[in-house]
Amino acid sequence: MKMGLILLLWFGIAPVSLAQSGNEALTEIAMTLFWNHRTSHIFMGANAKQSMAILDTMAVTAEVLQQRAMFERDIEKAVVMLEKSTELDSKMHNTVGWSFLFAYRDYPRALRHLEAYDALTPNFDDTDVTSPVSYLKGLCYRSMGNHAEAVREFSKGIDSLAKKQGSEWVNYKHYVTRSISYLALNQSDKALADLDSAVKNSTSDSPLALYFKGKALLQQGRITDARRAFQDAQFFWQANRAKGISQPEDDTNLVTEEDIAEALK
Amino acid sequence: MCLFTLSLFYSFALYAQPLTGRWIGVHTEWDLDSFCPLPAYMDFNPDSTWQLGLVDESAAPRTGRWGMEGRVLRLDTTHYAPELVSLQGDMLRIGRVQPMLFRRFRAVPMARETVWQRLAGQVWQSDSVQYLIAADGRVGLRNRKTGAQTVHYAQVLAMDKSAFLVIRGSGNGREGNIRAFWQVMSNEVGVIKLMGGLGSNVGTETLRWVRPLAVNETLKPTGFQTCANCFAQHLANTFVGMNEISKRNMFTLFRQRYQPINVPGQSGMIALKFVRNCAGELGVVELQELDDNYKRRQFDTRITDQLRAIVRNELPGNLFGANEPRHTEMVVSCIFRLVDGRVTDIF
Repeated sequence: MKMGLILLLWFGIAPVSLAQSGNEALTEIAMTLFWNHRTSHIFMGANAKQSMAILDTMAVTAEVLQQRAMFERDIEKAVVMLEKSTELDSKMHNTVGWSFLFAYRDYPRALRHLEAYDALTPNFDDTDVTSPVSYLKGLCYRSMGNHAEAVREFSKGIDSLAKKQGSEWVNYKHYVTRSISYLALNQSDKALADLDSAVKNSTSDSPLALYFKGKALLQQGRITDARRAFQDAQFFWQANRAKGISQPEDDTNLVTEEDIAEALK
Repeated sequence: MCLFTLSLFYSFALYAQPLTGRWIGVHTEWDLDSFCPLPAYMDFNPDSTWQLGLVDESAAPRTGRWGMEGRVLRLDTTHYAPELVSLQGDMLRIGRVQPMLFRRFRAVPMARETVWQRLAGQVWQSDSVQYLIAADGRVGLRNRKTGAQTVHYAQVLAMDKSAFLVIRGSGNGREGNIRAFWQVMSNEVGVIKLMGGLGSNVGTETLRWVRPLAVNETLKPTGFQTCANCFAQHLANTFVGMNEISKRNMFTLFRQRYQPINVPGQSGMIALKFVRNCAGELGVVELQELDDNYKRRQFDTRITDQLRAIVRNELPGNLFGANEPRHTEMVVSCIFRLVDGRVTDIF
């Protein structure tokens, strides 16, 4: 469902390559023929009008409304469908909250839905395929400038997992995210502790964690250490590029090669 | 038992035998109202060999084996369930995701040079379209009702002693996918009959001679034209090819250029979308204007005109900076959030 809701994210650049050799053209035709052995869509967005027409003939359920909203280009109509889906099934508050958070960046509305979803299971931090609901709520608070509340929410997921399974099981990006809020609160000690955990937990060397480590060290006035962290971030960015590792690491906490170079000036 | 055996035999005969032979591509259905010509052929040979190739033979055909297993069509190791393959008369339809339509090929012996000599340098017309065909291959397709014209390149191909008219590319070059793909069924003085895709079906298009193309007749599009003829605008809502850095560059540009107007109540969101073709030209800049509750509204034109102007005047050449991909065209869409005329977020 989350992958499908990506369709709701409005920003996109969809390039169409034109320079196509005969071999490429034939490969494309052969691939289309191959995928046609499937009975359902594999590429979301393909045959959008056909999908909408099929969904429009189905009984209106929360699931159908959410799927229908994925294909709807009219934002006004899509939002009505999303809201309606939560009235039919309160579990939909999760994906609808996710949509308002990432697709429309409407943080108060996203928070309202995520709170409603969280309230369905009091004292339990539901986790979907990507993140605990507390993490999504934390992102809402952070985007609304309330870092103290963001830290409280991020900590629910991070601390409970670290306590239950060990800190090495925590997604390193979640540590980075919390550290950014700590930095905003001028709590660089806590930020540094999170960033050290992030460096440990990342499966490859993380320019993202090192960049924010540099920021935390700067906040402490440790200029030389900060510079070393930025240099490490730059080195590992180039090394990761050579290894073919996809960068930037995290769209939620976007750090580019230019950001690192700027920090080194 | 006898009845059972007979029914199996009948099922095989019903499906395997009629498939044997050569099939010519008509189109791939991209959506309910979107069909992309399919300039390919497919051979189901009696010795169970199978071949998929391009009519222009610009690539070596893919070969393999085919067979019917019960009512299931097998192409090499790929199996197509009975409901995914339909055979109606001479029409073969494969798939449901992006169905491909083929028609049984019937050779109509014809020299392609003769067809091209008759077409080139002349103006022809069907019931709805005028074909202005220059000797160098450029062709203007003019809607007879609206006068709107797009520009492409035409060529006549030969396969199995038959001739095929292919129209592809745009005024910006021959590159780009196919706009029209027809088999020439007859070539007489003043009348040329073509067979190929007509909307969702197969049909015959009759071209009638109108006049010679004037030497100084301009073959230019009357409006914005994409270089690709099968252009998937619906992909604009996906992340295909998106690059976070390009996105940030674009947003920085908007932030630098946009002059806020302080007008209370000018709040909500504006979703902006445009197409940029392979030559860097921009199509219509579409805006969806919504208030904070996602209801339609109209923003002050000092805001919307500014956004349009930034797209038109600043973005070409700046969209991707040094990393701008060549020979591509794209749909770009983004959302602006505004509070009292100030842009507070772009994404």
